[in-house]
Amino acid sequence: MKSLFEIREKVIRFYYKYDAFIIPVIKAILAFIVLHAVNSRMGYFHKIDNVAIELIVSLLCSFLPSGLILVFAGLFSLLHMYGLSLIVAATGVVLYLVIYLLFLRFAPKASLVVALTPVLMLWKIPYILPIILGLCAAPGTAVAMGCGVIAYYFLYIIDSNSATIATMELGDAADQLKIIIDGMLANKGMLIVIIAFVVTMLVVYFIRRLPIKRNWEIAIGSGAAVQMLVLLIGDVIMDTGISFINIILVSILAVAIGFGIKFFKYCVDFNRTENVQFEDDDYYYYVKAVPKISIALESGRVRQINRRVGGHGSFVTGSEDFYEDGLGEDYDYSEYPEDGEYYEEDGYYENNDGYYEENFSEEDGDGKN
Amino acid sequence: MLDREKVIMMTRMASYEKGKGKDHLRIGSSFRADYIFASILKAIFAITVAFVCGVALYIYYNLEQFVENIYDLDLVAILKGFGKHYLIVMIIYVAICYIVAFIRYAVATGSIRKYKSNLKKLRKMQKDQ
Repeated sequence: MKSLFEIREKVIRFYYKYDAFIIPVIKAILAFIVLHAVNSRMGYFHKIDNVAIELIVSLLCSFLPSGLILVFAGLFSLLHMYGLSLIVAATGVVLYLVIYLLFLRFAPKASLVVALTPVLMLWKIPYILPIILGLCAAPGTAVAMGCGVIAYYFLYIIDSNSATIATMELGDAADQLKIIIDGMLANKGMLIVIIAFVVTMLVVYFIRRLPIKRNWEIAIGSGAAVQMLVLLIGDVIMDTGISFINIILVSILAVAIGFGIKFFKYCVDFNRTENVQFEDDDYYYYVKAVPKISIALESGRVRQINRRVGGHGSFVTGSEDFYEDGLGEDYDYSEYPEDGEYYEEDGYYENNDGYYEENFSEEDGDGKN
Repeated sequence: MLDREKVIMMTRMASYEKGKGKDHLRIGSSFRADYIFASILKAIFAITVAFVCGVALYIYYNLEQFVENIYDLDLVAILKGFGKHYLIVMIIYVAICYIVAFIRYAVATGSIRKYKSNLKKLRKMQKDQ
């Protein structure tokens, strides 16, 4: 466990030290994943179906606001729809417009969730999303998640009917529209998935915020259980054909990720290092504010000390760290003359760094039990 | 001479102004009734555009039927049907937007109150110097 804490500390330090580079890199990677998913899945507009273009746009996204990843993903998908059929592209414009106008105003900063939901659904691991968002995000993000699910099913229906649509001519516009709208309306899975995701996210969110012991663990567990239950009930009622082995496996993964988030979330303020400027009557200030690392340290323990080895300024404690004379645990310390003093009586104590200090008093705080 | 406490407080406030405070201060700059009214107007605009898009898709979807029965269509009844649906959808959507705007305003004003109290403390610090 101690090594885990050490790893955590290293990760946090690394993040704070290099966040100016890490965040653009993450944004570029996410943009590339989203754009590549759109291109590889659709690929009807050959001019943009190119890894070089994906890379260039991803690099652009690395220093642009993260909301633009969704804009580029939307543009790419619309161009592919246009490559397939003008009517499909027009339907796409209408759908995206309605989603933007009606829903995204409730969660304007969660646009990345809309872009990532279809990708996770494509990878067959969407069930991790509601649990992660319930732990990290505001409840309004559920709307963005729902929009992502709708976008995925829309693209899925276009993709699965692309062969039929491609053979149709512009005169069959109404038939093309019928294929898409009928496909959307007949897809009961979409409704069930949206309901399951929203319910799961809200359950996780509200349980996490309850003032009870182990609220995070309960939230993660109950979120996974509720999600499975809702999907199961939905499948029984509407025969959606969702794979339950996949749901169970992904739920286990979601629980593991949830505990990982809990492990980091308690000690990491993911606010970035901030550079702020202000002034008063006398000075201009250019301040770089770096968030403090607030790792919960293990409370110090008073150990029973057997004896001090004289003449070396070193102490025998039972832990290899404290054989500071370098003789090691196996060395026969009885050869050394004893001063006959016990550390506990002397007031020595072990602090959090594992060393011993003299004159410890209760006001010092850290070393007491 | 730099005052450590003052710099910390100013940094925190500048960070707030740059982050969450940007939205909160914008929301808090108007009266509650004005903010909610503006939100409702935006909601009505959004739902109207979305509804028109929906109606356009519906008409296009049923274009063949409309063309076949063009002379038998009861346009008044169709328009009434659209109007009824529009009103129902709009009332539900505006009610949701009203609640969201109300909560957002309450959150923003609460946060601005804290910000203003920090401003007062800062002024006091400057006077004491």
